Amino acid sequence: MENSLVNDNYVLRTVNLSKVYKKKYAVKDVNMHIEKGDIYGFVGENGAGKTTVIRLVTGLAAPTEGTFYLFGEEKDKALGRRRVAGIVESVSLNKSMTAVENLKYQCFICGITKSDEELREVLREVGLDVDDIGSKKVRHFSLGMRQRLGIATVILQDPEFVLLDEPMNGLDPQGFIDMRETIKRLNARGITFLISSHILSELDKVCNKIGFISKGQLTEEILVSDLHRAASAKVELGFQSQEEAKAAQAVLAGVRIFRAVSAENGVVRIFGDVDVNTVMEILVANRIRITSINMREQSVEDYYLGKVRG
Amino acid sequence: MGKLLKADLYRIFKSKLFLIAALLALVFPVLTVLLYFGLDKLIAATSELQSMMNMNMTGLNMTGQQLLSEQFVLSSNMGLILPIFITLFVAGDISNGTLRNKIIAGRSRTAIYFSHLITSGLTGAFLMVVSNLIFLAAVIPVFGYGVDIDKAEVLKLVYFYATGGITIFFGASVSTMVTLSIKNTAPAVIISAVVLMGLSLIGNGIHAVDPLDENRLLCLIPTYTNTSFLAKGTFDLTSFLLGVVSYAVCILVLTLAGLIVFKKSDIK
Repeated sequence: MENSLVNDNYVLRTVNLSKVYKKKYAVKDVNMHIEKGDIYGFVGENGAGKTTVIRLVTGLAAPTEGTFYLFGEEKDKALGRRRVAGIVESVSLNKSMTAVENLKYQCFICGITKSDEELREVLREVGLDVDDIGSKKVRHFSLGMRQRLGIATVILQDPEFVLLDEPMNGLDPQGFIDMRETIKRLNARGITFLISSHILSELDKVCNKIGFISKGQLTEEILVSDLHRAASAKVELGFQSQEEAKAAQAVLAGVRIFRAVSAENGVVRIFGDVDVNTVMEILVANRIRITSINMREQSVEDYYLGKVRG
Repeated sequence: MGKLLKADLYRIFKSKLFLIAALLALVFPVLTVLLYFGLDKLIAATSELQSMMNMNMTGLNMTGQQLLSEQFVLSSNMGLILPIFITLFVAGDISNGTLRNKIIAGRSRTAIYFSHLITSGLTGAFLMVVSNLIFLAAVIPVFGYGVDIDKAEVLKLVYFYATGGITIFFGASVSTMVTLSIKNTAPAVIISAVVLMGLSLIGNGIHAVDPLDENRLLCLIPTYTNTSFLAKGTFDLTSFLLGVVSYAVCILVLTLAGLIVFKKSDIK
């Protein structure tokens, strides 16, 4: 077991975090590292295990194996510290209350006192028109308004670490921009974020670090700046058959020079800064013949797909 | 836990559910008194019914004291409403997802469980007291209390409300345990109502078989009708204490069981 004080700067550190549901691993050996001030994007396809990890670190579910440290303290001690806030799965609101009443209710839960004016200020901060929503019950709110109110219930608590599970869901393009700006503004105040999403392009715009999760396993943690570098170029190699492509993929992946190598429909894709001569030398040495070679630009999504589909 | 209690009470008083339950608590006793008043007039106007009353064949005794205990039988109607109300209140926290907010905010599951139990019990007891006070306020001017109110009678009333209150808490402990264990509104409502109705049926069954020993036997089975049976009889401290202890043990066992399940389960 790692020492809990390896890096005091870690807001969240998970150590071999695993959860088993019905004898199957939902997440396995997740080792995640989020430092103070990070906006950490947690990316994976639906069912990859993003929500499960968030549920584990918020105390909604107990890990089957492994542990996690919040602000350097191990889970049971850390969960009672009230420095964390979040939205998990969906925004949790009392639909028969108004927006201000929901915030008041959250204040009672957290044991904090705020005046009505302060609560209205929080609503304004997340872009809710206080005059417009007035005495409207939350059940009459649009999905976007609920998302904003959910964020309001989170920032109301002045947390140090915020976990948002798919916060962009249901938002219109303007909502995307507003949410991004809100997150950046709060991050500038010193709040660390963990944001899960399957929309990498959105996280790419707001996060400084990305963690890729696939089939319950954290496949890579990468700084967004490194991600852009790694995704800046791609080499595509054509082969006679998928079998040959698979063989080339195995050889190239084994060399460990390249960040990610995928093989699909007889084509091998290599991501990141790739020296084509090195690739050729390796393939020749292994007596693998190529039929074509292409250099092309790729997006971070291509990089992500390369990681996931491997 | 005080903060959670505040939050849960705030939620309950803001809910339509509470408004409906409070309306029922207000309307029930008034309707009951009106019903008895109409019945009394009918009896006075019908010679056959009058002679049946004189021969004590109807089982009715139109005095405030007697009708108050009948009200508790009627409050077994309220008693059926209460578990439904409590279950819906607790389940609302789960279906809205606000239970998640409490856990993420760092509140312990024990505090959350007890906050639900206490809020439900207090609200139920409050509704019971309101309902019975309105009934007393309406029934005494119409029918009179029926007996001289002395120290023993006051003690009996205290005993009557105390057992009523603890029965409400018993109902709350059943509903809270069931709801927080299975975390699904519809089955939780059905199971809570079935458990409490089942216990009432057992109580009534024992009463039918052995009415003479009703106090000692019935006070061991927590049901709403017990309070009525106990209130009709003469004041008996042993039965009262047995009842309170038996109810308290049941509440304790249910709460411990519910808490163990709730603490071990994952929250959706």
